[in-house]
Amino acid sequence: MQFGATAVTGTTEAIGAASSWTFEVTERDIRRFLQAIGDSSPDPDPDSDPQGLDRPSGPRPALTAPPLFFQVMAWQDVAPELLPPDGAPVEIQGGPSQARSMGGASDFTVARQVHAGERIRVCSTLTGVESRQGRQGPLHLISRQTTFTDEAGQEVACERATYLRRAV
Amino acid sequence: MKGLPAVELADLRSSCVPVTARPWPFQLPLVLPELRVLPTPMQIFMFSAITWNRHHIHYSAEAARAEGHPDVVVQRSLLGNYFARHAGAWLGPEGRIGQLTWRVVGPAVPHQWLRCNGVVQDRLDDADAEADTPLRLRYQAWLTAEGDREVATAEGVLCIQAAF
Repeated sequence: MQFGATAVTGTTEAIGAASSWTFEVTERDIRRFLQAIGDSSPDPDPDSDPQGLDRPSGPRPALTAPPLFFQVMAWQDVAPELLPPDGAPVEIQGGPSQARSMGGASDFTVARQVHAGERIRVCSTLTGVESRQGRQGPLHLISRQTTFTDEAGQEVACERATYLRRAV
Repeated sequence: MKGLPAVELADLRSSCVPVTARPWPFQLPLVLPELRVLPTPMQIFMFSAITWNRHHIHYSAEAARAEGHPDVVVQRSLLGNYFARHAGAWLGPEGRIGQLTWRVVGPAVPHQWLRCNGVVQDRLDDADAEADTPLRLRYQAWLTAEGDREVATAEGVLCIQAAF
């Protein structure tokens, strides 16, 4: 769940523009993410023994999210009418208004994995819009840094990503 | 590095003994078992849903074909998770991924097997590091589709607690 999201589009003039919101990590989202990435690791049933009555070590610990779970928090909940025609996230817009988004690269630094129940502050900053001449015409590289900070103010992860957009 | 024996994910998991520390040193580079995954339209849909990625090339085959793709496209972010699963199967619950960088070099589509292979290349820490300091190891991997077509490459830093 996101709180306080605002839209930021990626133009050259918008480099440095940042947007931030808070994301509440839930067991449901972690379990859905695990299914989505095909990870079938055994995991305690949330409905069995919630008080840890059968556990000598006490209540079941909070479910730990996979290392790249931060991806769940990275796109804002903007209204569909604010998205470009291809539905690509507003965070990777830049270059021509009519463009195709493609692959790219990600660099994730993970200080620690988060747990269900945590509230994470997400800050997404446009760090670059660069144009190059590709084999099939102009290619636009959109760079964005997204930091994830816990309630203690510690940065728990950072993603530096580059997205490719080509004019249609 | 190709031509390694493939094992199912369940075998990978059972081979990852949940230890609190691993004997060090062990021989590097260390070739990790292959991870095979078969993306399905449902998995791609689920990943778009949980990440709230509404880019139409991930759910509309018609839109994907109009942009030159043979089918809906596996998300860049999901490919990163295949690397994370590959490294994580070796790390086990006591290790962790400290950094993971990956680059998409070709499209991946549903119903085509992907093979993730890689190595723990070398140690990044000072050899005189304190015994209670987690080892930082360099991970290199690649993801290929049928016909050995390269889909993505990755590098990372894996952190484990080792017993000296």
